[in-house]
Amino acid sequence: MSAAENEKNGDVQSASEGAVATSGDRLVDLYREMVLVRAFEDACQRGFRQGKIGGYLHLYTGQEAVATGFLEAFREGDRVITAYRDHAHALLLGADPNEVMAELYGRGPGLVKGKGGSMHLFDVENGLMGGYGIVGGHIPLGVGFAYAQRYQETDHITQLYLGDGAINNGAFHEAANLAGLWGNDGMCPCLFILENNQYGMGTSVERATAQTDLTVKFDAHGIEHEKVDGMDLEAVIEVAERAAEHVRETGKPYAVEAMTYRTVPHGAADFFEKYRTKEEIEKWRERDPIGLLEKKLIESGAAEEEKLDEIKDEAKERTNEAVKFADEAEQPPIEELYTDVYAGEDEYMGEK
Amino acid sequence: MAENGKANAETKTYREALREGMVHEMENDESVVLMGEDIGVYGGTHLITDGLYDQYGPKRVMDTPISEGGFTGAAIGMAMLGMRPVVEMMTWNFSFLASDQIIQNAAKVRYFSGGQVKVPLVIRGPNGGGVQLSAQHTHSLENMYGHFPGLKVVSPVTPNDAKGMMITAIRDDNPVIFLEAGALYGTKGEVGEGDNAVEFGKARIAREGTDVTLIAYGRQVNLCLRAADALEEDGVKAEVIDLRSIRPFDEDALVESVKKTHRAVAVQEQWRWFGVASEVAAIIQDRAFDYLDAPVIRVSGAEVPAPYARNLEIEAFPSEKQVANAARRVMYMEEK
Amino acid sequence: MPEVIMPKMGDAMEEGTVLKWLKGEGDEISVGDPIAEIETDKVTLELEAEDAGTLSNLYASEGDAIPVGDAIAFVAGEGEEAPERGGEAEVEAEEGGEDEGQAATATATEEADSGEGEESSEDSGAPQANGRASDGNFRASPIVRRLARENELDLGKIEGSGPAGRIVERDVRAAMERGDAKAGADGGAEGKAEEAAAPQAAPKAAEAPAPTGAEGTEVQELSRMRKVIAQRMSQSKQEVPHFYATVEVEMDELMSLRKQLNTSLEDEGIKLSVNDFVMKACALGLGKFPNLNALWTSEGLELHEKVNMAMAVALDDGLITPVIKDAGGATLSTISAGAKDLAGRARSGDLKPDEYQGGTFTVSNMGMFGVESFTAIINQPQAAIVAVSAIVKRPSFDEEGNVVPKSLMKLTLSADHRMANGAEGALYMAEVKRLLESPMLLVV
Repeated sequence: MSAAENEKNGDVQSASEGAVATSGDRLVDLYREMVLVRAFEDACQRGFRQGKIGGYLHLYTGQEAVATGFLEAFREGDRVITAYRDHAHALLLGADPNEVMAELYGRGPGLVKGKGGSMHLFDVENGLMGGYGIVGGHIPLGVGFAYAQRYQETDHITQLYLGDGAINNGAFHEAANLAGLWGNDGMCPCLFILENNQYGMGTSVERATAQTDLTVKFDAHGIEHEKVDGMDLEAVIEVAERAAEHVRETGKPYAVEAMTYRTVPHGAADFFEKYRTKEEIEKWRERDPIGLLEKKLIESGAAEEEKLDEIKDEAKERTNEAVKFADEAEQPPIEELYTDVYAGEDEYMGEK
Repeated sequence: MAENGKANAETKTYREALREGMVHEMENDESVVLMGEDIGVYGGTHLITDGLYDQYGPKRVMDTPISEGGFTGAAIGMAMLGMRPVVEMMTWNFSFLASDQIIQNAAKVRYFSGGQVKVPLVIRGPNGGGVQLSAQHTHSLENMYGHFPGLKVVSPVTPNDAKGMMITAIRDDNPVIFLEAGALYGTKGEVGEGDNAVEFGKARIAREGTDVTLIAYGRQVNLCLRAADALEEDGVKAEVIDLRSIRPFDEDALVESVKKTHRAVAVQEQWRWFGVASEVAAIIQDRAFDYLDAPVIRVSGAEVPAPYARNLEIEAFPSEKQVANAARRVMYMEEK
Repeated sequence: MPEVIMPKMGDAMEEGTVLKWLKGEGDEISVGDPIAEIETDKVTLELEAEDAGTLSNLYASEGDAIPVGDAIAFVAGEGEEAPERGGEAEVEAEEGGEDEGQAATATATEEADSGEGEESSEDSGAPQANGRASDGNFRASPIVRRLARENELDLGKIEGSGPAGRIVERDVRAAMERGDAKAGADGGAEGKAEEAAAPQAAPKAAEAPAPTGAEGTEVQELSRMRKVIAQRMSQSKQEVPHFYATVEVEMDELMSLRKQLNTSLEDEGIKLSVNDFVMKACALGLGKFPNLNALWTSEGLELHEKVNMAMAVALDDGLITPVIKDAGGATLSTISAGAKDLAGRARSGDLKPDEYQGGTFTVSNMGMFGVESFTAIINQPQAAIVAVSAIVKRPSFDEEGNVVPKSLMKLTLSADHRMANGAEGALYMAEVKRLLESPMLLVV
């Protein structure tokens, strides 16, 4: 079996040094965050199926440990940019779940006023510089953020999330080359977080690239890298803190490939049996990041099962509240159509 | 409008005027940086940025790899964090490689972020043909970029405007597509000293007349001025309007002029289909219909990829004779 | 209410087909159990239960195509029963209320649109017919058509010099200089038809040329009142088909009666003006011509029993028409006192709205300026207006054919041809003339 096949079957080994102990209380807090993300995504799926959510919907289910772990290394002033699977990043950075859900429902109090939807969550105040809809297209922006952070003489960094599908895109290679180049002068504190969930939509990694060890791609651009088991929260946190510190100190880019798996369809629904088997999904579900953490918390005595159930109920309640808020929220006023096209006094050029 | 800053004017080339505009803003604002292929050590293919690398250093005058999508996207990111990058497209023909970044990110990110970010970015470079660069290096992209809400698109023709509009472009909080008349880099004209910022969205009457309005922008304005000279020999007083900016677009200037002259010819170097001249014609019929004495005629480039041979290239672009004859046609006069 | 709905499985999915039920009615199910195979336009997949319970009702049969969001089955909790389907439908209708509301709005808008469309085509019916008759058959540039409209030119009389005989601006300018393309006078008005001499109402702002900015010019912005006047006068002149009828009235008898009356009324502080007599005569005369004391409304002519006489009062920056109520029933002295009071307060800006609204007929007097003859623009939606000129002493023939000096005054009626015929206008003016020439009739 090739490494890629092993990974696909969920047998991935953490390539990092091994998880360092994280305090029990902190893990329970992070468990709470992950469970909220999961409950939120479940509610999104229901909302989509009820026709309340339009457009495309991409869920983070199965990948929660990656963003949860990396955003543990987030410091105020840092920037985060990702593609369209962006709900978790917004929630974890502190966006109000009500506003996120209202955005998905296309309502006025939505995070971006009902103008972006699921793929374009922005919360600049909390560091989220956006979700972007064109695969690979956001990567150069993140590299630009990093240059600006150094040009403006701050010690902030950019966490740039991308998927395995984006790595074959020209924009990735052009941006990674610039990052490597500018990093030589200490001008690019950019942490690439490659979320390898094994499939670019329905095309598996080995059907999309001949070099299936994706970290190698960063070698070509002079960017140091490592892999991590993206299902193991503690392992992710350990790498994230070390990598972020390195980037912050040196102004050089760094890449981490997090091996993970999306246990739900690419969009709200897809032909998943055409490209993967039920057995494969089951196998990965056994390594579900929330399940793994649950087991760890109970075994270590950090939390009782009842406590965890309580946390789950709270998450559902919080999510239900968000759904209720979104459902009852007003639609955006029609005048909003004409704002934010341009910065400055004339926000709109044209006939109304 | 008044010729800004002309009171203290000195004769300079279009190239020097552009550089002066950039330097003026670099001196005023630390957040202004220049980026592009060979703009630093080499001084720029067209020498627009000559000497600036030595003056401002590599952090502010950045040589980039040949990687238009990458560095344009990075510039968008810098702009979103408060820098004011001025990106050189060595020629606008290379911008197709960056068009995903320009259209999908620069133009729209303010809107789909619900107004949370802005993109104060200038992308500049030579546009249009005329120097035998043939098919892949000859395009006029004003209509393509002018199509997208969120972008501003300008096209100066005089050295004074080149500087004044560059200053305005850099100060603008929106992405500005700055289309230079590449064939005119060496032409000279009076350029206002100091801050001669030229407001966007105000057309310039390049020549006053009463009988027919010739409307153009960029290099074609000069063509129209020559055609107006020829028409004067026939006793026809042509008014020449330099649009200056395609987005925003000065509709009123067109309409007022046509209300006076009753006849209009729209001139563009680009292909006729879906071009700026079509928009000009549509605006005039929409807003000055009852003043028209003849259909609005468009004079455009031939519907072919740009050829190489000099004679073919000349034939492919609008000529002074075509413009003058179009004016004669709307005047119901014999063509020459 | 755990009903199983046809789920939306893709961004463009509108309905799905229940291929096969994997569970039957009465089966116990738990969360995640596949209960049906659903086929969409893109994919076939198993629908998993989101709720546990008894699959109590299957609403959809295999092979049925069901819209997204509609119930296909019901999962009952313990002791629970599926609601009546009728009730279900109501709930859905309520939920769909928003859409229905939108649909209703859309219909209403459509109606309003078509209503407007009809109205406007009705309004513009006459001018359009004219347009077709005068220039529809000619090739002419837009500006030529406009000049023809504005100057009442018959394009049939102009030779076109453009391609395929298109009439172009230079042709029409030459014709205007020669003056040989005037459209024939319309025979609508009886009596003496005149070209409109009233000042041209301000053209719509959108059409006006920009200021020339030439030396020695300045731009004065329109006051609010000026704007209203500009708009209303333009509208009246463009929409209302005016016809005109002028009579010349012998005023000697009236002038001497007025002198007598004013002498005897002097102590009461009353001084009757010529205009008071004219207003009284106009009001009395309307008794026989109810369609001239009327308003043009969306449903037809609104005939008024009483004459509420509006009188035009010139102000520094405009014009206003205060109203003397029931001028037909009022005595000359009441009219006189009312007119004086209203005019005074009009000039000082102290009129109340009900004092300048509700007029049914208007009189405009420029006699005090020595104007010998003029025509006025109808004060919409009224039917008519009478222009009162100066009394001029002129040699005239008496019944024996002798030349004698007479005090003569011209009155010109402008009337809305949609509301009255020319003959009616002429007869009305003859009646007014008769009353003024037998002024005792105005006093009794």
